[in-house]
Amino acid sequence: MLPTEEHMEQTTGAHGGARELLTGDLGLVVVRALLENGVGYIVSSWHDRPTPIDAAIDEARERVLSPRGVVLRRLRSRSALEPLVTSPTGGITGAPPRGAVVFGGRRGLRPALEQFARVQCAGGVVGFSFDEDVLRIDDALVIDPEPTAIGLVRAIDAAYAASVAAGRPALIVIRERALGMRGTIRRRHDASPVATADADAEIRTPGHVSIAAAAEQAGLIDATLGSAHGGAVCALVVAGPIRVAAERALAQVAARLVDVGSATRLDDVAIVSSRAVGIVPARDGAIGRMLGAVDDACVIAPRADRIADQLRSDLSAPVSATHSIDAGSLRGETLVSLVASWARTRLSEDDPGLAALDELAGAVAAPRTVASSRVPRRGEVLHRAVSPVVAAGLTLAQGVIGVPGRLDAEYPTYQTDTGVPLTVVPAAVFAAHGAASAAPGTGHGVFVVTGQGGGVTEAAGAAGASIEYVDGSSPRAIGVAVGTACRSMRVASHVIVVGDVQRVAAPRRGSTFGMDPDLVGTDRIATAAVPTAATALVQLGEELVAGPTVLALDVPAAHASLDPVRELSPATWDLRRRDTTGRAKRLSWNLRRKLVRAVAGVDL
Amino acid sequence: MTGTLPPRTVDAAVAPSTLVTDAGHERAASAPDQTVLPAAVAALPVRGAAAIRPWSALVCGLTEDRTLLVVDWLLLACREAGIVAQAVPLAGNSRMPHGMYVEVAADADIEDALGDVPWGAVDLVVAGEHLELVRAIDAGFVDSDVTTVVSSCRRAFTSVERDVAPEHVLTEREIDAIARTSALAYYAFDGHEVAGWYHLPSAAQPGLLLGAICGTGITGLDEADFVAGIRALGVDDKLYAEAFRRGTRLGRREGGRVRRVKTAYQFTRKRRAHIDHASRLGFEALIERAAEIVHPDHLSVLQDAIYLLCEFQDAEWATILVDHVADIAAAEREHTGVVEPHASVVPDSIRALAAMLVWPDAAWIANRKRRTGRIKDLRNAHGISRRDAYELVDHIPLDALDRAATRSRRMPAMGSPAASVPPLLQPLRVERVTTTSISGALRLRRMAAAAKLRQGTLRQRHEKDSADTWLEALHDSLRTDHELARIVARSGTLVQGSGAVREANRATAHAFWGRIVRQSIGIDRASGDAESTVAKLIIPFGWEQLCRSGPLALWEYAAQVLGIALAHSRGLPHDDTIRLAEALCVARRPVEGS
Repeated sequence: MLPTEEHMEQTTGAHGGARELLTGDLGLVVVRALLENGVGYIVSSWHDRPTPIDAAIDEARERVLSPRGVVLRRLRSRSALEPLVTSPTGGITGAPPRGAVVFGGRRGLRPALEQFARVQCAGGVVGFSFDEDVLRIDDALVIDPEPTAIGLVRAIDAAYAASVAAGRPALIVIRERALGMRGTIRRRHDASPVATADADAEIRTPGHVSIAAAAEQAGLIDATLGSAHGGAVCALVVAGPIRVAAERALAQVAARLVDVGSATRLDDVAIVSSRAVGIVPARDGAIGRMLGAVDDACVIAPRADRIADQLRSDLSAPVSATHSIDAGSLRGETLVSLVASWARTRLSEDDPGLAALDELAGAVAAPRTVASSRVPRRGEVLHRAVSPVVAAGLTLAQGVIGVPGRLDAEYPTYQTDTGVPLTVVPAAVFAAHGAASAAPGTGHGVFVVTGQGGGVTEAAGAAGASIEYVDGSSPRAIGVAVGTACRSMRVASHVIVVGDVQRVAAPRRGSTFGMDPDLVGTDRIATAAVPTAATALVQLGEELVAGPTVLALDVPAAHASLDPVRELSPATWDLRRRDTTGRAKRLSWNLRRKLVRAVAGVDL
Repeated sequence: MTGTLPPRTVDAAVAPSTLVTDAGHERAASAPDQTVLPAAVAALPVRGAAAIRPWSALVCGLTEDRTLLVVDWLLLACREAGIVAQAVPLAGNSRMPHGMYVEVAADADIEDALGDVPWGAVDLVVAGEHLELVRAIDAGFVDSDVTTVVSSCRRAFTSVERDVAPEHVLTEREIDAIARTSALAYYAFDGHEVAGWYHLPSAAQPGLLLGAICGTGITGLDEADFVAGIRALGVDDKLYAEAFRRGTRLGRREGGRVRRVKTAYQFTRKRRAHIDHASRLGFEALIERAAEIVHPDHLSVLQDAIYLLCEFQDAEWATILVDHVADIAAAEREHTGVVEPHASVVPDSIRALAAMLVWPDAAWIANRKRRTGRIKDLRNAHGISRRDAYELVDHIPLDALDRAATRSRRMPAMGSPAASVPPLLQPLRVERVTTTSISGALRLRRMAAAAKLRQGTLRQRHEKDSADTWLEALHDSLRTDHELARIVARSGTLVQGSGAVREANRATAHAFWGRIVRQSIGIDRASGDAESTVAKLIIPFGWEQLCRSGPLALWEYAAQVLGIALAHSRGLPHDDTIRLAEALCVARRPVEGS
């Protein structure tokens, strides 16, 4: 993986610009940002499975954190956390140091985090949570950073500033995308925990400020104006993580208007963003006053975010458009489209920019496919209502009954080429409806009853049908049963119950199982009985075979289904080594080898 | 390195209050009257005009192929060059590629503007798996004005591809064609194959990709930066540094994978020994003729097919295939004109004919089992030397017809009562042949010798009938629409497997050709619809359902197409027929069950 903080310490003599740059993943970036913020103590997760941040802390423990006087704690219970945060020592005498708490786990942490977020802490404290439920906590300093290295560093800086100002811990949410992120940041000097604690003590006020004011003071809520001389007329209010993207979207829309010669400029649009979840600017602050004075505002925020309502109620902001987005899967084109559709409302009917904005607004909906139907999509659910074995069995029966056609969309009854109606029905449905599960007026036919369910025998008996049980793990057995039953017209119905059979692999004595790919080809019926997990897709790399071959692997799950496979495919073989210790055995084998080659032309 | 979006940034120097229109009249900007703002608001920062998108890349691949190492190396190489970069995973989505989005701040003043939101087409797409590249193109990351693509042609299969018919999935050449037209530049090679050239393990593919990226010069970074990146990461750095060195050459030559087509002499030189003596001259003549019939890109597949058929039976049998291929190529030229090699029906037709004209009867199975190459591969795979004793047991299912055919030199299948019984219902015996024993090897030899008795058998006629049915459907569709013909050409390989499996697959294929393809083409032809509206609706839909849901999909749709054709033949207006076809082409679950 990427270099660790410890590794970076050892290579600080790197050349040129690399010296001041640091490339790392989540753990490294967080550890570096904590050092730069003068953290005095770190409380690691009490979960047995360490988070990426815990792992980075462990890596840096000896060579990096300890020499800087950072105290590491690993709590075994959450109840011990509050005393530590409210009166930390962290090995420092004097002012309470800054701390960091890593909350492991991705589910069910909300009660603990709510409690943590309301603690009156002595120094600045930042918590890291991987549980996204924390975004729903009210009246707390919860920060939703951009999942980039720069975004995380910015968030940690702001979180400490806000925590010190508010006298309460700030929580940073680490979303799933941040777990896999990598990035390069510019290194700053490490801050001394003691000096930072003293500096915090100097700026701390006894009563602390409200969390909204603290957030604004720490730069968690920010605004930038356009270049228009008169200031802002409109505001684009966005969630913190999409701030950068929103700026680009606005710039792209504005550039398009310039390109087409529109008179409208978007340089009077202010962009307001809040990385503190659920917190809007204070009414009497600069941003709040600006928002209260604008003519129009557009809000783009995640679904759960209530910022639009808060802007209307708290600041009386004229929010004309609200768009919910999923920040995780957002594309730039979507943002451009949203901004364009909002900007469109500002244009007059004869403005040449109108058509350009319409085009931008509709760009997302435009198809962008390249034979995409021929690209299998991951995780897609195929239209296959019966198990692969039953499907293979029914397909095999086509060799006798032809390809049946459905008689009625409401009933699962199919007309075979032999004239016998075939109904494929789940056991529960057949038990409930008996022969009436077939399409009305089809006469005596064959029922293939799949799955488990009581009452099938009784229902068959009540319909005057004969009944047959078939090994549900053998496609050939199912196909033979269906083919035989449907081969000629019936005087009474026949029910084929496909049993759920769990085959158990017979013990194998030192032999290896395998398949010849060229004899399997790209057919999938023969290996339908093998569980998916016990198969491998193999590319033959031949010009004549377009596509992969499915082979059964030499694993117990496949061994259990070898008999059904061998009934359908000539590709299987067993290989066993034989003992050749001893001169007699070696001579015997050499003789056999020569004889086989001479007599049968097989070169062993 | 330059940004690519937006095409032109907002020029902050232009005074906002006035604007010169195209007509040259100066008029007031349309901004409403400026609100009087408090002094505190005026202190808010003014953002710069150049909110330009930085240089960006997308690196995609599957977990197994370790392509995402390229991201780490790229970031570290940028760091070596003093450049800040960010990489964020793409959100999980069935249509999105699996990979990371990278943004690089070419200038220090836009470092803070690096974001995590993927934005339009990127400057560089790196794909460690070929279908992932298509997913990236499909998701809009590739543009013919800005994007350079560096990709490995290697396919790594996901679980969903076990269930989808392989004929349906885009082929390597089709992907090449899509990438060439979609991208500014396309560099592709088979990573595993190239690694083999340089005696590197296939795991070296990410190193080759990084080398190719460096070779293209798209990043503007030096080779030394990349090597320093590999060393800094420290993951198998010796291997990857070597792979990187080899890979730089791959990035200097644009285009897809280079395939060497063998000349007629090169192809036949070693293979002629495996052909029956009586067929050797014919084999050589056919290989020479092949070059005159098909495009050079399709020559290797035709050569392989000729060899296969000569090995299966004789040169006369292979001549049938070559004649059919010549007819198909001529028909395609006649009806469609010049076709790009990747879009031609010829290669799929050759595969289809080879699949239909070579059937795994007892003789062919024995032939395959006796091959020296097969036994050598098995020994190598299991670390068995020629001196080590081993026992190889082959399990060969033989129905009554197969057993009878291998029993004596007579052809008992002709007129035998067993011939009227479908293979599925014939008594089956799985023969356990010990190939490494004298008796087993002799048994295989006897079975293989039955190949001489194939000529003129009922089975041979049966298989030829399938090929003829497919050929009729193909020629019909070639006369109608080339895209439809491509589908029909691909469908020929449905006829696969041995015994009952082959019969079942044959039934599926015949239902597709007879009930779907020819019926829908017939409807249009009877109506004089030159646009072939019904066929263009029904055939692609039926084919997709068949490929994605399996043969049982035809149970849902084939009979309905017949019904529509019947109604049309009885006087249903063409417009109503189209409406019925549209109503039919809605996917639904095929067979109710558990």
